[in-house]
Amino acid sequence: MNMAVLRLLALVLAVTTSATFFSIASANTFSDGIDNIFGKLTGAKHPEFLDPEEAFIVSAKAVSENVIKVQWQIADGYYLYKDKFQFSLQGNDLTITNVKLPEGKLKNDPDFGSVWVNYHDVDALLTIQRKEDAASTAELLVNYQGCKEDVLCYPPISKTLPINLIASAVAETTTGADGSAALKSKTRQFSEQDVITEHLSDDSVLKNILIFFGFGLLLALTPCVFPMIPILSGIIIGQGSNMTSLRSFYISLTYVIAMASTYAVLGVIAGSFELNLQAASQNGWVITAFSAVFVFLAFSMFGFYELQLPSSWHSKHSHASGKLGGTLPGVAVMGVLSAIIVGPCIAPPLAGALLYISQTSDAVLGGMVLFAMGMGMGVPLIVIGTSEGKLLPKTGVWMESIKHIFGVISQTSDAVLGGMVLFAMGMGMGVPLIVIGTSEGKLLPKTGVWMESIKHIFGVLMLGVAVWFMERVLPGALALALWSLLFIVTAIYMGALDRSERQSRWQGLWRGLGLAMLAYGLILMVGAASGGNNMFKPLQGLLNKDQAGDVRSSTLSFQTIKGVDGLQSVLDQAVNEDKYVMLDFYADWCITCKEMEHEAFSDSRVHQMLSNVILLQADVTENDELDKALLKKFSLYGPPAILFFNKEGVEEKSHRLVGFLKTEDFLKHVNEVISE
Amino acid sequence: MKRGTLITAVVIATCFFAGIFISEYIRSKKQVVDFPPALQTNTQDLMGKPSPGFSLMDISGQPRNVSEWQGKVLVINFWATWCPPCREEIPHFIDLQDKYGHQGLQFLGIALEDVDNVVSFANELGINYPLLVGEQEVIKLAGKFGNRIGGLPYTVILDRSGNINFIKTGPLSVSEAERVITSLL
Repeated sequence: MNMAVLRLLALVLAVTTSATFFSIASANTFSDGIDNIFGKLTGAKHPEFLDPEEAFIVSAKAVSENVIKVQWQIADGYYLYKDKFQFSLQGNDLTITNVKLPEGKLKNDPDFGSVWVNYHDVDALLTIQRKEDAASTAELLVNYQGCKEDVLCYPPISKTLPINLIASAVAETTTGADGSAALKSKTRQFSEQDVITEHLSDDSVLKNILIFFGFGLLLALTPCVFPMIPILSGIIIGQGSNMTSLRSFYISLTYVIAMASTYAVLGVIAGSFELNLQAASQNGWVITAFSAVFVFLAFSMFGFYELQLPSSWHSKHSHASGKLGGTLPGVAVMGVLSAIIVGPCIAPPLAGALLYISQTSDAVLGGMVLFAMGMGMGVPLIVIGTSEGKLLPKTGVWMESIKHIFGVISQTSDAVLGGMVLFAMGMGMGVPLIVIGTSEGKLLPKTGVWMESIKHIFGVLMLGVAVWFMERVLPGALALALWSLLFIVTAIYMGALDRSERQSRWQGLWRGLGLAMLAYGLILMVGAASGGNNMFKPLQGLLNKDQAGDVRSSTLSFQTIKGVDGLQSVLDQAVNEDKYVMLDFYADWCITCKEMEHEAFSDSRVHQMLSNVILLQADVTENDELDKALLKKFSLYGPPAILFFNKEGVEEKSHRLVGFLKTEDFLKHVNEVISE
Repeated sequence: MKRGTLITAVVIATCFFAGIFISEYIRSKKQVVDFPPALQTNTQDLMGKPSPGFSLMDISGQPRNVSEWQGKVLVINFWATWCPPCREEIPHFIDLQDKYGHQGLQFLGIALEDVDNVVSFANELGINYPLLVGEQEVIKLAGKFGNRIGGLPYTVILDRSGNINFIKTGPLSVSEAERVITSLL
């Protein structure tokens, strides 16, 4: 009976999704056709003059190892001048050796005589020469110029098109082997958002979905998914020891599907309306509520009360319906909440996806794409969740596998998250467990003791996650105080100050570790009291005060601006002064912004490099009309975002940053911008 | 068991149609929402507003400021020699400058290109009004006058008190130009 319900649930999800998918796939071309016809009949729908981007749609891709195809779709009645096409590849390991353009038509001009022009579609084939170790991506700069026949001419247009080069047979194996490295090298060359948007723009629905599933898989290797592991593990462990693999698989699957569906819903909403998703989901009350849920769960882990969500359902379903009954909806709710709250961590890909959705105005496709991404992100969660059921009794092995995953995470991650540190702490606490679990596992086969310890560890982790969330809404010093409290209380529970006779050798180790944590907790407390807000450098405030007498000297001093007009007036001024402008979007809830502040913006080399750049900051915490207008102007959905404007006051779109960058990378990036 | 299968089948069928319905619904919504923004809003907003101040180099390399022509009906024409429709309307502008210049009409050509081409073209046609040149700054200025797409020709007419009275993207016919000019003189 219970299994039947589960199967039904899975089927319902699968069928609804696929039905939606197929009806869209089939309706896509049809309704596009309708749109076209409709658009042509009613002139009102299309303006008299097209934007140059609409009149001349350009795209480029590599068609073979050494040929790039650049394609223009030219609107009816518009043309491009043949002799105005220009191509150049950025980077010195790539050269264009030959350009082949279609012949075009001879157009008679009363003043200038005859000129060659191209109507409709133009396919330019560029032959390129590359060195063996050339990068897998390149930026192609194209210049072109054209007119609407007899009516309007456009100024010369330059566009930078990112291209994924097709690797030669030798190079392919090396790039293919390490997907995450490939993704990283892309992010270095142009901003992450660009890459994702470009990837999406010219692919079919199914391809989009697959690509996004892949993105999800890669994201699963970042710390973004990381906070979900303790959540899911906590749920599964909470089920008790009579957990089968199949059941934990169902729980994991439910969790992941719920999470992916949430992204899908966000995608659909973003496609239909113009909402600031992050601001909405980062509302202080939502965060506080979620933190409270975590605290609640954590305390159940410590055994303060028995959180038997299933038990009330137990009594209803009683004997026959089994142990799982009511938990699935609960698990689904956790999945939804996790997606909303943890989501902003994956801001760059999310922003890319949402930008894409807004470009196509296809809410449904956006939803599906995000669903696929969520599923991709969830694959490792399912694997971990499922394996837990099997491996859980053998504590050592299970911990080892988590540790292994953590190793991968720490290698590929860019962002330093409070959660990660906490996990490391948990690992430290778990080391004795691993040792015991592996060496003495045979001696203590199926005791509940180890389960209890793991429960406690997860309890602490959950509290950590709760504090981590609260960091976004609380003043820095207060958050630091909470961290300190967490460390101190955990240390006390570990027996840091326990002076009774040791019961076993291991207890000594526990107490030692506890004492270390107690010390760190106290340092954090001192840091918090002195106004510090950085968990990793708690005493910075104190030390700086002693040395320089100025606590806040460390971060860049921005000029704050408000609204589009505010920006424009400063930009005008910057043009007069012949200076570059850096615009940083900031909000109190934006954790990445704060990380940037702590790291890159506090680095003296960054200060020096930006000394001749006008630094602007737009605080969009309030998200009022002016803020929204400013975000919309740049097709942004919220911070984090750092924009660069050249000396003409024009944004360097290809250098836009929408995620965290390490100081070194940020330096490189800024250097690229200002050296151009 | 049989009953279970039946229920399953019904649920699946319902979901299937629900899926199709949802997608159609969203699609129909989308067509309403997805309306391209009108291009002319920018220029409409500018009507009656004072002209933005600017100064640019003329073809002899002298900086010229728009305030110089204050008190006149000023026809600002953005153009370029590489733009066929621009070239075609310039002879008409020369005629109109001849005809109404003494009544306080002043044409001002702003070319989006380098000086050399403009000078030879101006000599060839005998352009009888000042010509200013520039690249990025011209595009930016045209943008301030509401020319969002940067298309040429683009003509703005200011009344005697320097307020924007008329904006035209694309060629300006003699009759239309004359109508606006005479109403302002």
